[in-house]
Amino acid sequence: MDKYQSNANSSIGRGPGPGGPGGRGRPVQKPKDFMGTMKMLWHYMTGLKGQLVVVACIVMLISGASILIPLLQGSAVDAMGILPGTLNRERLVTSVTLLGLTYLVDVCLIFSREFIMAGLSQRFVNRLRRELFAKLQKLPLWFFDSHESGDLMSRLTNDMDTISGSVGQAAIQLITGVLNVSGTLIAMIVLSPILALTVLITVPLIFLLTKVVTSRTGPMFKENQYVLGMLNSHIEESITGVQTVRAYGQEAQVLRKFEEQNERLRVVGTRAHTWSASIMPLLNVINNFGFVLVSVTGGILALNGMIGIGTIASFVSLTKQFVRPLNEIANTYNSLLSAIAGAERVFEVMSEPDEVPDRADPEVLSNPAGEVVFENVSFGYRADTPVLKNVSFTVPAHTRAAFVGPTGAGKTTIINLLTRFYDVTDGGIRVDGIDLRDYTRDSVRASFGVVLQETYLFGGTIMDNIRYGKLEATDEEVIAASKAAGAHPFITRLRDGYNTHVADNGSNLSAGQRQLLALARAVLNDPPILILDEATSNVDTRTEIRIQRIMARLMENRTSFVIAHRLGTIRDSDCIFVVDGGEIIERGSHAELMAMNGTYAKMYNSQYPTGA
Amino acid sequence: MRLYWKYLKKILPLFILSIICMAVEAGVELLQPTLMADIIDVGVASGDLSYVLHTSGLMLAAVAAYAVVAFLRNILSIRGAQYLSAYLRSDAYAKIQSLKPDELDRFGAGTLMTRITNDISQVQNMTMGLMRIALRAPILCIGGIIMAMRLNMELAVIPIICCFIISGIIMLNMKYGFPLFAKVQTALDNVNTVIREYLSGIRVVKAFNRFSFEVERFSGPNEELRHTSTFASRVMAIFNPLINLVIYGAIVVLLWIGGLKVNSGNVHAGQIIAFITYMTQILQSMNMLSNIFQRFVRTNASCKRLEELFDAESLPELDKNVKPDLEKGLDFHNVSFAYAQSTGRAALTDVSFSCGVGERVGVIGATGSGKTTLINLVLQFYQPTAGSIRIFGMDAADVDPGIIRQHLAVVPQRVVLFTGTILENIRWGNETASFEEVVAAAKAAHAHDFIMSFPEGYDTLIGHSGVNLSGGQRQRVAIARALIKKPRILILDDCLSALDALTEASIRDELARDVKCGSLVVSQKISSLLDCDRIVVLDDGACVGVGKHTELLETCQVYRDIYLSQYGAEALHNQPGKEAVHHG
Repeated sequence: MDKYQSNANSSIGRGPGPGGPGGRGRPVQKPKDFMGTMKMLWHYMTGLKGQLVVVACIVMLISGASILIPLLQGSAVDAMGILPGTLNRERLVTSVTLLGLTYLVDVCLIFSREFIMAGLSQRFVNRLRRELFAKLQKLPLWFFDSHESGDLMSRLTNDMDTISGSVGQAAIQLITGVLNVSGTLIAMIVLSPILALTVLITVPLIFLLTKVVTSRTGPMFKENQYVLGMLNSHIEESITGVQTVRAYGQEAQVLRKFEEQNERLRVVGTRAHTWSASIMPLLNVINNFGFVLVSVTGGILALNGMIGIGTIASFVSLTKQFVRPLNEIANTYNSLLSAIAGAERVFEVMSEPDEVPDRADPEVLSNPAGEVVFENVSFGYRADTPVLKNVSFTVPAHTRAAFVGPTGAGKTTIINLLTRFYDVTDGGIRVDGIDLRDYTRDSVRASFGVVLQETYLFGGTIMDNIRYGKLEATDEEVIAASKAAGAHPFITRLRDGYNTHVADNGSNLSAGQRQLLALARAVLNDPPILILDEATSNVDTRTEIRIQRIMARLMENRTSFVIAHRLGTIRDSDCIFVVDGGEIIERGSHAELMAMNGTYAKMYNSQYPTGA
Repeated sequence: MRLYWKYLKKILPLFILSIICMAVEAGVELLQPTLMADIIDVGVASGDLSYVLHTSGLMLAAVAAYAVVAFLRNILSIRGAQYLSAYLRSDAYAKIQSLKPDELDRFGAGTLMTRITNDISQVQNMTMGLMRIALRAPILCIGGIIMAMRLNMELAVIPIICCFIISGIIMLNMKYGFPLFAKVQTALDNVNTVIREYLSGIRVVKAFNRFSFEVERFSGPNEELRHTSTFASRVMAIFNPLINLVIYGAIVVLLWIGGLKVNSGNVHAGQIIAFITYMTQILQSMNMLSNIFQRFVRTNASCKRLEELFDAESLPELDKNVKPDLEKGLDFHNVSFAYAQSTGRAALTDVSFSCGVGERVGVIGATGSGKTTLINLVLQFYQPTAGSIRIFGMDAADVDPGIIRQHLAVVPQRVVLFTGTILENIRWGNETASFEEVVAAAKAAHAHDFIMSFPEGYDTLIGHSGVNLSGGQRQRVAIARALIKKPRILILDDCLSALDALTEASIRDELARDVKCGSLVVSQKISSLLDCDRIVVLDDGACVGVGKHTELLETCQVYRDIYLSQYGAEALHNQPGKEAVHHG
């Protein structure tokens, strides 16, 4: 839901203006560990702290200037005197000159604050993004499997934006606000305690009314979010499933459901926003009320000669300066909290444990013969649900092993363990006689070439994407590899051939074409041990046969593991393992298994009812 | 922006009322400094306490009026903005539902989703901002100048000049600053794309050990984003203080000239205070305006995206008053088709075949040979670029697709189910179906057993908040949904692929027994098509053979190749049609 929520408050200029769209009363996301997160943020500030100190000094100076300005204005007015001919020329010259200088300094300070902050905050976020991305490289696959990609995406993008947009701005606003309020208060008390008191009358009013409103809006926004979430998920599924909607003639029903929820959102949204936005006029009224109080009390005091009119002038500006940040402090504090909560979610990723490091003094697996032994291997993604139970088998070097069985039997898990995406819970896997965990992880992965059912394609040309298998490959090598994998014909038929741009994770290519590209990548990669996990499941059978012939040649002198649904494709394997319920229930060559007349034979006959 | 205006018109009364309220508010705010000037210049100067009290009474009354109007405007403007976004969302949704398939493909589900959620909420926020702040700034500006002129004509020249200069600055800002923000947005999108791709391909990245490559790939857009953002923010860092500078300068001039004039008796000190207050008000409203404009950049992009959506082509209105002849089946006559978005050639060329009600027709061919395209044409998602399709005795091109689809049911390759209970999902096929009929359909689709294994049975929720069904289970629910529709032609688009071999065989038997209608079965497996009345063999979009299994084995080379690839050479000699071939 979060990702569809607008983030309109993060404007770059001066942060959320007083008119930000009904920001108040929204449920505030509170960080769990405020201090800890602040410490982390501070830590990532390394090298930028000097600039930060400069900004802090500037902020203090700006606050000083903004208190000085009303005082100088008052002094200038006082110098004029209330009646003609009472001008204190000298004092007017001094006050106006000083005021002009203060203004000039103020503008310069604001400019330098913004200028430094622009570089500072972007450098900071850039660093954070880079470090986070680098961290992703070190995280175990488990992490990605156990987090929804939408959630990760939101942490990497939305939360990051919030940090860049808000942390700096909100912190500055907060500090400025606190400094201004306290400084202004002191100035007011010094100028005239009685007038200061009249201004202070409005303070409890502000807090009281704000409290009343926010306590009401919290639940309202929760409801608003809930309804919005329902509406959005309805929209999402009816857009992605639009063909099904049309095929079943459900257009009217889908539309009706939408209208119901849309209307409900409007009603709920109107209520929540009206309440939360009512703080603005409320505060304006109090503001105006304060102005009247100052005018009246000031007028009476001046009448009695207790203060000069310059003091009234100063107070008019001071009151504004006092009440406005007071309005905003609560708001700013909340947006700072939200930003910190965002930062916390980012740091959560940062503090995830890395992949278990290689053991000290590891072996390097290079050009292995490829004998793979599973010895009493047990494994579960979660401790309470074992996926593999005490699995043992040996695949001699340079042979082809196939794994078949129903979905969820544990075939892919075996591959995950082989490539050390995961490590066994119990037992051991040996390659060329040495436990897999004794090798460096990098050398293990370099020795295994994996082709998966889903192909990873990134924005770039087809050529770039195939070259991913071997970054230093020449164009000729890439083309040779795609010929070997059977991808060449379809690539040349594309408008721009090998230079065709792959859009949006390959959405302009069919599933079968994507698989051919993945195969080409593996051919180019030329790994000692080859793993095909449903690698040809989206390719038609004739192409598959062609690929198989090529793959057979490719697999000739290396160990290979094949997972396939279509049994025809693995018939020629040296050994076929039938996996079910996390155990190997049958093993042998095709002929042996058929002769056994067990599960394999049943599966085979149902797929090829008239075959062999 | 034309879109914006169109929807603004729909809430015009609310909009105008809230503008009037806003004007009153601004009026009160502008009145206060003048009244205060009176207190000082008349009351205090002449020592008249009753005048001071009288004027403060007026001020309090003004505040009361202000309170009423301000709350009213709050209610009006929020209401207006919420109505506007509800209208906009509703129209956008209806538009999406009516888009031509070509257009749907062009936009893609992802961007359609952003348009209807993010973009509309941008517009909504903008409307709220517009009704509450944006117009307040010019009103305060103009009002402030008028009040200043009333106080003192000569001094009023200063705020007038100020306003002109600031307008100039804001316009420069719009001209040079705004394109920068559009650039920032693009740079941000690029960074996000790399991250999204990375997350989707994490397994492959790990398998190939391409960590440094990925980091390298990321650093380009990341640096680019930093540079554009920093530059844009710095440009803004010049513009914003510039506005302050102008107002500040004006206040200094005001105090200096004003001071001299007070001395000569032309101006009163209270008026000077009032002037400074007006100037500060103008400064604040200008700053707000400049903020609003920055947000406007984002909204403008959103508006453009929405306009693009509304400009997209809808499905044509076709004849709804035709009676289909349900005894007649489907007939493709020299049909050719090319996707509007395709980079290559036609997806189908010159395909002819027929499928009578009660017949079973298979479609087979390689990946990308046009099987799914053929189904899309039968379902009337697209219209052929050449040739014609007759179905249920009508020319499909002239008839509302809804009429035809009423009598078709499809089990697609990628099953889509909707949030709700399993029961509701199966009833999609037939809303009036009784519970018994639903169970019967589920049993026929081999779904009943696993459905009953859930504690809630048919009331089990699926989708976002419910249970996750496996691929095979989803497919069986989809099969039940199709069966319950009792269609005249059932379309199975490679739908048994996700089921494991044993289950598939038994569902196929059920289908053969239970479905008393025509069926069109797309498959890559010959074993699924053996008992078809007719098999259409597609190769690269062309129809290279139509006939029974045995005939095709004899006559169609492509079909033979497929057969060999699935059964091996030895099978050819003892396949079921062998006798027929030998003796026929």
